[in-house]
Amino acid sequence: MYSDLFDHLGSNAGNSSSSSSNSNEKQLVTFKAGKMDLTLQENGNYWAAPDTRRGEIRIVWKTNENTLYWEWYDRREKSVADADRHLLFSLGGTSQELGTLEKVTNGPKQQAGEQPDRLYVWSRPPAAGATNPGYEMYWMQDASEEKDDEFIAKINQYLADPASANPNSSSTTAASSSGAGGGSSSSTTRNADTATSSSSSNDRQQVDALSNILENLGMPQNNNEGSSSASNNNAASTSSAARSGAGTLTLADLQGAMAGLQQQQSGPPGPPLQELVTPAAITSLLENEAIKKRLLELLPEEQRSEEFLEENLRSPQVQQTLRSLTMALLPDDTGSMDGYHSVLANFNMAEGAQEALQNNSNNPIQAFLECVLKSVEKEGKDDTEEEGKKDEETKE
Amino acid sequence: MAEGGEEWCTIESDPGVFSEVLEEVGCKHVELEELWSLDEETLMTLHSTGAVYGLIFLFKWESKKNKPPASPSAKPREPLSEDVIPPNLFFAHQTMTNACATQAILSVVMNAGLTPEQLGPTLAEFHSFTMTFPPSLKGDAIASSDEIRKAHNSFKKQDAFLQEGRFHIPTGDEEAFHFVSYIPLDGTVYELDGLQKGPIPVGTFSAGEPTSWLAVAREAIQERMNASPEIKFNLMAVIQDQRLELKRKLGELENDNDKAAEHSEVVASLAAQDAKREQWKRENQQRRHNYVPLCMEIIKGLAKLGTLPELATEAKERYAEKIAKKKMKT
Repeated sequence: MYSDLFDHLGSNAGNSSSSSSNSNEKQLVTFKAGKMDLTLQENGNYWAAPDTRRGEIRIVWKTNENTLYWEWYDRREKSVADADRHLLFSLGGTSQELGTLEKVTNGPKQQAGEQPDRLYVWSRPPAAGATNPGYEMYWMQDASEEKDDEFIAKINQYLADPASANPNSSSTTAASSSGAGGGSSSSTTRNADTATSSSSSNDRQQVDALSNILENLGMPQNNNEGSSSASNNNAASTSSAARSGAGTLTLADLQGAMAGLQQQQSGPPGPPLQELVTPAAITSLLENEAIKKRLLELLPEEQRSEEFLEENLRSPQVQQTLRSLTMALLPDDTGSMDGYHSVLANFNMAEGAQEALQNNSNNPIQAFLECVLKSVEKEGKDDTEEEGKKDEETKE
Repeated sequence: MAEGGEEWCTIESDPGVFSEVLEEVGCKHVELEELWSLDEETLMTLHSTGAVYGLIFLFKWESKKNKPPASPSAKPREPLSEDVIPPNLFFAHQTMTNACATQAILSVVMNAGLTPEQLGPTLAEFHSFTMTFPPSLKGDAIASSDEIRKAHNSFKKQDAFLQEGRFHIPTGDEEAFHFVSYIPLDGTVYELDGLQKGPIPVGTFSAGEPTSWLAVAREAIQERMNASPEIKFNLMAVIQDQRLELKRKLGELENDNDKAAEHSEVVASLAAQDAKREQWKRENQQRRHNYVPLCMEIIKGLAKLGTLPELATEAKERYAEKIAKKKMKT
């Protein structure tokens, strides 16, 4: 009760003795935040409700264990429960994905005074056997939101590069550099500086981080030792290649990748499918009986007659759907190509999808068209083969 | 009460869509007609088809840059405060974004003086249930009505995998509308805008001339259009199902052999109305259809014809040109 009061007065007297004096640990980041209770509902979603206890998120380096922890400290109990202590990094241990802490922008509708609005979510891959949803949510408890962004940036820097927390590390890229770590560009540059130097655990972490960033951007990650052949088709294998041979990713690779990215952003990623399906193209389809037959089957149930085929093909709905399909193929805001893969998977054309992306300098629409061409070729072959079989059967 | 938080889908602003929403909710007496002009002739023709219950003025917000047009500055009009809203006037605050079209239409229908039979059981019950509610609660009642939402959401897009949140990226050309209704009630024309705190009286008309209210409404709409000429708009009339009046006339003429010409004219008009309904029905089926498989087959068809690579190259060039032109403009 009283410690809360002290907190308000800013004295912080209540907890000063408990931890900072502890010579075995170094608090790298601390800020006042409460937890959100997440309850699994019947519909599979989690219901989030604020835990009203006053607390603090701490990023702590334990010098005796050479280990980095994420802790939620209960300011009233003046302690950290075991369930609220998460291992981030341990010297000599294996590295793992730590995710990021992000502001919840599409959270529940909040009514004034009822729910906190400075909500943050730490999304991370769930630990093996864990029943948690793969994320934790927190709400800011400092009266002023002025420093929120700074805290979040600091935390994300440690999540991206936990090795930099080691006070004994020679790394010059420790999280003290102010404000960095929010945008991907600053962290990639940071990684580039050291990626060529040596193969310390630090660099391995950074190369991993770089791989992850490139992967998220949907970039092919060229291994400069590998040939340009399609040996590194999928991002996962490149990523592990980079892991096993730290230092193979060079600044030149990074620059190349970024240049490609820029081109991708400024150049038209088209052609949009609605631009491709011209009125003349539709006319040509209507002249082919076999194609017409297949199209007829896909009209609205009540309209499956030749009478309505042209009206449907030239309808605004078809144009709109081609537009949506184009948008679905393009990478989303985070650079994820999930849409592209999901469209192809939906239509049984996932085979060679990754290769098609590489063949078309990561233009998902061109790659999609390549997959369509291939699947049609294959269908054609199957059809002729089947016909051949039928012929044989009839001969027998 | 409804289970909370149910979504209202976006629906297209089209007389065929709105008429079907009303039909789905059980009101078969009313239809919507798009108006291309507000001149005397149009209004007279409209009136000759049967009762005109109200006009709906739709602003199309092209992008977020365009703000909703302000009320005409020439004659600033004040919305009525809650305690002076006539008790028989149905006015609801807009509480759901995507429900606003349906809400504007309901505002007209609820004030049309229809019998419970003409409203249909759902709306008749809704009308008597909400009549004493204040505007905010009326808005909430619309938003939480299962029946109305169901009729509205029957136009929900079926191409689920494109809509599934994570893969659905707003295309930017999705349009936002705002709807304002104009209705006659007891000698006064009111502007009903769910974003205002109350109905706005825009003028009076003599009850002896039932069409004179249209001239008053026209003036108010004209003022709005002049105030922001750059904004796209549509105009729709909420009218009696035109087939009802035609059928009534037909009954009259059937026993009158002298009016054979007029008779065949009405028969032709009725056939035209039936054809329009058929067209609406077909278009609405198309609106509800999932065209993703068809589109995929179109592209596959072009691949089979061997024209796909060529079409792609041409499309890419055209697209690059378009982008270049856009850049030149900005």
